[in-house]
Amino acid sequence: MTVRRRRVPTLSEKETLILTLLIRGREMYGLELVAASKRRLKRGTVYVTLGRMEEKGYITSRLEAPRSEAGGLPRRLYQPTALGRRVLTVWTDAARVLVPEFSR
Amino acid sequence: MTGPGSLLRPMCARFCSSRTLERLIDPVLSDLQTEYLDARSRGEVWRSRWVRAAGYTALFRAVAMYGCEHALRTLSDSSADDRRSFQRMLGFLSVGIAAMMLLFVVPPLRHLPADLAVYVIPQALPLAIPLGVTFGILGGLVGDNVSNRLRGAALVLALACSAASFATMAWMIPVTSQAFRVAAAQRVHQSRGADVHLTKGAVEMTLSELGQKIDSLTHAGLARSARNLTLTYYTRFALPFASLALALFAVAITSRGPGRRWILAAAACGAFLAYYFLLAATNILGREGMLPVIVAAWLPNFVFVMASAVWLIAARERIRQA
Repeated sequence: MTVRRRRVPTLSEKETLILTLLIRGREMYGLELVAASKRRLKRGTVYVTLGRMEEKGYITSRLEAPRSEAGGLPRRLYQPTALGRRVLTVWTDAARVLVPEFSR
Repeated sequence: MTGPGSLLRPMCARFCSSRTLERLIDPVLSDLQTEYLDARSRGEVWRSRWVRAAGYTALFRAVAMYGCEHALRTLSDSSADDRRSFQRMLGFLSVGIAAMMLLFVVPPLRHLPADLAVYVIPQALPLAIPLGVTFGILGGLVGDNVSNRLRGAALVLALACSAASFATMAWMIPVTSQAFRVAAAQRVHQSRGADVHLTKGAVEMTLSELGQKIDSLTHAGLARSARNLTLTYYTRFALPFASLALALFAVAITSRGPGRRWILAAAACGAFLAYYFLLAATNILGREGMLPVIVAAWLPNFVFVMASAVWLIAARERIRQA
């Protein structure tokens, strides 16, 4: 009998920060997240991380309505999914237990 | 579509998958355009230029980072031949960069004290990286069974090298060059520890300082000096792409089929010399006002990309006929 291992969801430091910001606030676009993170997120890397998180199912995105007066591409707005919220809760709870344990 | 990136997006659409375009390129460009148009509407010209430069840098970094991740993922489920070739390519690239660094850094090291010599190292990187990349690709893609996946990985590697080159030229060289001048001046005046203030030259200025200087020179009516600095400004963006242009050329050469190593090594040297000869020529023409400065800065990249495209199309035609 073959046993299929389920992949355990993991969160990197940046992913944790992005999820925290998105859960705390409303849906945000890339540069808004960079500004809200007080430069802990970089504009060159935030989009790759957002793409990766979307692939993992932690966040979802939609295009905002195009700004007709200014022109340009519509911005992509991100918000956390139920899975993302759950993973963040479990991850932070685990960190709360593990960090004091291993810092002794 | 208006604003920066309106030309870049169709180009990206040719090379990227629709998912990459939708999830990576478009979000970067849309944020860049929004920020840029906001700055323009407020009449902040230099802010809008900075936004454009920062946005393009972000796009470049995002694509390089995504490409590296993608290349690593692809390589982990690629054939043993591809993995071996990739490792060989990394080996040649490292040796090429190290050899060029030695060539450029050792002569000044012999005449400089060790604490000053350390500032010289970043100056050699913009030359060492493109040659290392060309050698790496030509060394790694030797053989009969070079897959398209491996060629793609080579170009992604070159893109990452271009990003490193840009970071060196935009931030590291201005800082280290000014530090070198200050340290040297302190040594000459025997005033170690005392504050030495030196006016920055073009090499020592960051991109934003260059922009401000160009503005002030233009307002003062010093058109020639402004043109020279504008050329330096554009070259800071164009030169890092030498790695990518030369890598594309190397990929095009290897697409003709297997070749002898010494011929490929000679081709790498020839391409590298031709690139810098062309760059020197266009720089002179740009400074003399015989070419628009933006054309003077980007022409060598354009020529190499076009030559590579012609070569690749010809190779594809030959394979189709065979």
